[in-house]
Amino acid sequence: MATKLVKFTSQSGKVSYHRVADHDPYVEKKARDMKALLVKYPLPSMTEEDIIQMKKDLEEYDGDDAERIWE
Amino acid sequence: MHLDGYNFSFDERHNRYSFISKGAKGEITKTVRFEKIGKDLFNLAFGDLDPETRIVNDKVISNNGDRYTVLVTVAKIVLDFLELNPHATVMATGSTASRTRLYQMNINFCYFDLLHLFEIKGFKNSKWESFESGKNYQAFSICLREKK
Repeated sequence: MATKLVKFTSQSGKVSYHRVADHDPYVEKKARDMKALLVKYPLPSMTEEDIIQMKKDLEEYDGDDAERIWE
Repeated sequence: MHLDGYNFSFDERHNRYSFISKGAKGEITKTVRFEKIGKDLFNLAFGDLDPETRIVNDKVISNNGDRYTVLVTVAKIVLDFLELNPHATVMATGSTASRTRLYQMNINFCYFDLLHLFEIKGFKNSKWESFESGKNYQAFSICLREKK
């Protein structure tokens, strides 16, 4: 899996570099799961544009790891 | 927030945070990610940073004996993120029911510290409602209290 070095700064200002994955399938899956929830049960503060974009993102995903089904 | 957590570090966009859990199993790198999913909406992902793949792993159970220090640190990271993104709403759910309970435990543990800072909603029985300590929720939303 491709990685990259990312600059991190501590609360005291100390700089360090951490290697992280370019794409994190866990983070992306969790985002899809949450979009699936919010499309079905939006928060009152959400905009119509948010919902439309989330639906589009979910429809465009062509991987095998389907989003969570919320009841 | 008066509770002590670990010192943490963050990337330039404050979307990735990292801290070291120190306990019975040694030092474990924990990571918190805020993934943008809408205009002012971010999804929280939290777990151990896999030392080989460098991806987040929230399936692992660390048992490092420092659960509450970790919980406080995550709460402080959410506060840091929201102070820098005051219009943002952070969404969170676990990848499993037990992980969701961990998030819930986190909110419950810090509840009275969080209450005056955050507006917290929980998703339960197909609807969003104001978070109540002791209820079991499937997902959570957190924003600064000033934001309506």
